[in-house]
Amino acid sequence: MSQIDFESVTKVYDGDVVAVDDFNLTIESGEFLTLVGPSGSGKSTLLRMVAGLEDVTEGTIAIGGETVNKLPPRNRDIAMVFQSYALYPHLSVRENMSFGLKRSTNLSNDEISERVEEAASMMGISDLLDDRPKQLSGGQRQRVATGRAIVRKPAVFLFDEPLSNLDAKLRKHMRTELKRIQQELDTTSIYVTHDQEEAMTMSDRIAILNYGELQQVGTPREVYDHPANLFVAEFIGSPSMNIFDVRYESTGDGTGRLTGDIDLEIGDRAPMLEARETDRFKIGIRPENIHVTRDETSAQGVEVFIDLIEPLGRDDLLYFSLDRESSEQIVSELDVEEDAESGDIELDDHKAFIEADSVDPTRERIVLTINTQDVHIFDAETGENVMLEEPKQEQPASTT
Amino acid sequence: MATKDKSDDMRSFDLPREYYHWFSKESVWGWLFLLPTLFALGLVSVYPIFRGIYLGFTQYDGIGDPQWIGLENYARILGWTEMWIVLRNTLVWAFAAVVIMALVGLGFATLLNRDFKGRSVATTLLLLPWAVPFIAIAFNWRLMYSFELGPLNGVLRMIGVSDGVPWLASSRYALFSVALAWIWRNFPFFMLTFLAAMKGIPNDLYEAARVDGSTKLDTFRHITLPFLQPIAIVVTLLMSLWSLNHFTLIYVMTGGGPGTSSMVLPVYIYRRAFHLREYGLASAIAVVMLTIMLTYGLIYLRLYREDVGGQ
Repeated sequence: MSQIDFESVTKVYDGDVVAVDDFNLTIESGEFLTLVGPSGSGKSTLLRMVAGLEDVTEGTIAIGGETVNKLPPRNRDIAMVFQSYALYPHLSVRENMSFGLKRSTNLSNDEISERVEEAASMMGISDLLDDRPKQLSGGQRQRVATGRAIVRKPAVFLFDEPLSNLDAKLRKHMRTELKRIQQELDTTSIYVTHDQEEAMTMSDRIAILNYGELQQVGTPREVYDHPANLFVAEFIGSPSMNIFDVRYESTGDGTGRLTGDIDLEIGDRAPMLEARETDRFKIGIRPENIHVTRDETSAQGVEVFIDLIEPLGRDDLLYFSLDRESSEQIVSELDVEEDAESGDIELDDHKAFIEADSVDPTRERIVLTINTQDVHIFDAETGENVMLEEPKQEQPASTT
Repeated sequence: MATKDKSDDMRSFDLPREYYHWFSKESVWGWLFLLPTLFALGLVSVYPIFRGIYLGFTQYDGIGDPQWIGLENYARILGWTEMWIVLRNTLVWAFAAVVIMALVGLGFATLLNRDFKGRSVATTLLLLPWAVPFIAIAFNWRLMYSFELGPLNGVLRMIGVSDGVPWLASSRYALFSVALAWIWRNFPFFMLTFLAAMKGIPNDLYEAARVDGSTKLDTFRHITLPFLQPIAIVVTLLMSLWSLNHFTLIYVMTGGGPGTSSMVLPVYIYRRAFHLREYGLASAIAVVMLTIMLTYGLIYLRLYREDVGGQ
């Protein structure tokens, strides 16, 4: 059907800027795959190569078994939704939606208008068909742009950050709606976003890119629970994973402990660390795996300084530091460093989900416990996750 | 002068509220500063128009007083074959030539909108005609068209097509030849405005159209042209009005001749007034021309109002 194969796909701009480097992936027919990564990671370039809007420098892209490298976009049986929507401003919604059908099919006018009305009712825009794009709100434009894609009934949908111009509430709503439509039509889809939350909620599989290299591909659960490397670990999950610098101290009898920012017994995982050349590691712990303990003398307890407690409703989010100095600095910077888009405070401090109202916010210190089983351990040099059974050879680890 | 109370009184004249401030105390200084300019404009622009309309109803040779003869001048004009020839020439000059200019400008704009080496040099060269003074263009093109010495005929003779064409001296080619020079002078204006408008078209639209199955020609027809339409309407209107008004090129190159074969209204008015000293008749023709221009401008803008202001 419409499986998509990437084979050693490489894209080089202007002779020396490598946007995508040796990308290999197979997207199953009917699958919803999300390409996610920070800006400049090559995700949009990959999508545009599938669309035929960029040339492939090396390697092949095949849709439904047919290599499409040299085919112009109109012969690839694809439809694309753009971030800017790219609606034709001088045409009505109806004309926007029938534009592609008139050009790529031999359907009669009656059939075309039937298809347009069917797609419009699917998108809930039936009463907007005679409006011009400028008369529509952002959300309505997004629907028209999606409608223009689905009316074509293509083999592949390509989405280039289609929701990033919408406000947070509408974005969440459209997320489920896009997913519903994709499932209904059962069309192979590639979805590009920089928003890991979007990727987590919509995808069958996520492919995480950084600097043009594929970091990991897997189901949302896989990449969340078993990140291949430090980059994936930090990128996936919100708030992001807490990272601590540690050293491995071998006791000589095949086991040992981690010391550094925090100290941890690692029990049965020691052999994997023993096998490494380095003794420097980074450990990652998700905010939900850190707990407040009443037993302040616990051996596994870590005493930390409270920066801030943010009530989120069901839980509180605790911001903490390991020493007093950075705690004071962080508190003074909290006012200015708020990330305008997500509203998250992005600081180099640590976070933990704690039970609502369980900690008196005027307290200065608190003792936290961490379950060793929930700890991810990464090689400090290569960033590789040393806890994965066997280091995946075909996926180069991030060097950042 | 006007006070606040007085400005309230203005309401009885149904003056729209946004103009109240024209008559407020603060505006006195504004009016004072405007006065010299208003006076000068009145002297060189408003007065001549009304004087011209008046003269159109008289017989006047520049000596003595104008004699009031009512509509006689107009009756004469409309019954004249010569006048219809001049009107036809003017239409060719101000409309057909402008359409060709626009098409040539569009062609070059499309070429310059692509990426190629030496694009900025090409753009500058193509813009040059627009920077040359009319009088220099007139003399140079007259030289180009010269029967004996002109390079145009030189080429024709060289390739053996003909012994030379009397470009400006034959009633068959005169208007066409002058119009060609006029097109050469003005196509860069269209080229530049179209190019600027093309740069403003979001690239996404072209990409969306390509994914939607469009060929290059399709995207030109369905994306580029609709985007150029509003600006095209404005610049063709402007250029038609400028062409209607234009005097230098025809006067210097052919003087309207041979006979009336390349005669257009401005040159015709000038000849009637200053060669034949028929000031009354010339004024009446000028009024006819003014009416044509006003009517044309109004109809044109009304037809396309939505495209110009709406989009």
